Amino acid sequence: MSAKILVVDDSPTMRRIIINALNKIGYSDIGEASNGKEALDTLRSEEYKLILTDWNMPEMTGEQFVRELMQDEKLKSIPVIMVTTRGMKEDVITAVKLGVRGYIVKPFTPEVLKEKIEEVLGA
Amino acid sequence: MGKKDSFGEIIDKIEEMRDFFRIGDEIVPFLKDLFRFVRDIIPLLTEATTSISDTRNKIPDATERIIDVNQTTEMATQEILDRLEKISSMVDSLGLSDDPDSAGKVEKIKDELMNITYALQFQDITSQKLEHAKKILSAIHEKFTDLFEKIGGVKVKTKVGRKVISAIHQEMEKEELQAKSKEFREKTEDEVRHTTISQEDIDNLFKSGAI
Repeated sequence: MSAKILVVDDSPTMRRIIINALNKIGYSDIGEASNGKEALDTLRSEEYKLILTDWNMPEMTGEQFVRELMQDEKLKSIPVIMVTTRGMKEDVITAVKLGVRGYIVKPFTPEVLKEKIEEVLGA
Repeated sequence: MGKKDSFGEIIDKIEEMRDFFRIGDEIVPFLKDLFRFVRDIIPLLTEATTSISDTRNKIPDATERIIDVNQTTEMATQEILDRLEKISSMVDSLGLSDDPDSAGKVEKIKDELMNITYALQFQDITSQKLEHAKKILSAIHEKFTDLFEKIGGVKVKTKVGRKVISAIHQEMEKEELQAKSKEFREKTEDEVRHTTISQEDIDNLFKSGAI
């Protein structure tokens, strides 16, 4: 599959697991960032079709990242899926209000990841 | 008339003094009670102060341990991932076999390897939980430090405060409290100490016969 995906997570282990899962379900064009700030810089220099982001991150959290992203005219159309340990209903509501298009609670399975990506990208 | 007025004034003064002594009679037992209370409360305050101090001193240590645990598990998980990826690529080369039975088995092995990879998400999840515990510990440390500073503030503000704090310090020197403090330190001692000596050094020590 050709969609270029950006994985944003402060944990190198988690980034690696997500990238492995994405490879497994057929995505090979993948970029990575360790926090929201780094992700914004990457997105301003490269074109991505989808963002998978964690919530709890240093420097700039996933919440702050999505908030900033939605204020950027050029970037706000890129769909975001939150992949996080935060599984409270209020968290999901906050994410939806921010404009997040999908929400996955860790630990995830590749099936769930594939399903959400397909939902968001309309594959 | 003037004499009578003076006499009346004297009577009034005597009445006032009687009232004063009556109040004094009531106040003295109260004050005695209050002093007894302060005397009884000092050992408790001393113990609380010592406990706060001991606990406060241990918190940075506990926080450091949490950081260590996170770093260690992160490194170990990365190593497991390295090996899983290595095995996976070795298995990939086996998958080129024309035998459908072997190819099926290879696929199953690869699936199992992927399942191990996904299971390693536990590292990130536990790490975030520990991070939360670390934040709680830091907040407690801040509160205790604040409390400790406030206790110090009482000492300089009032005479009574100075005396109470001085009494607390005297109490702190008592053996019983020192023993309790020692017991706390022993209970909370880290059994997994930082590696300060290499295995090679240990082997050399054994060989040298110095121990």
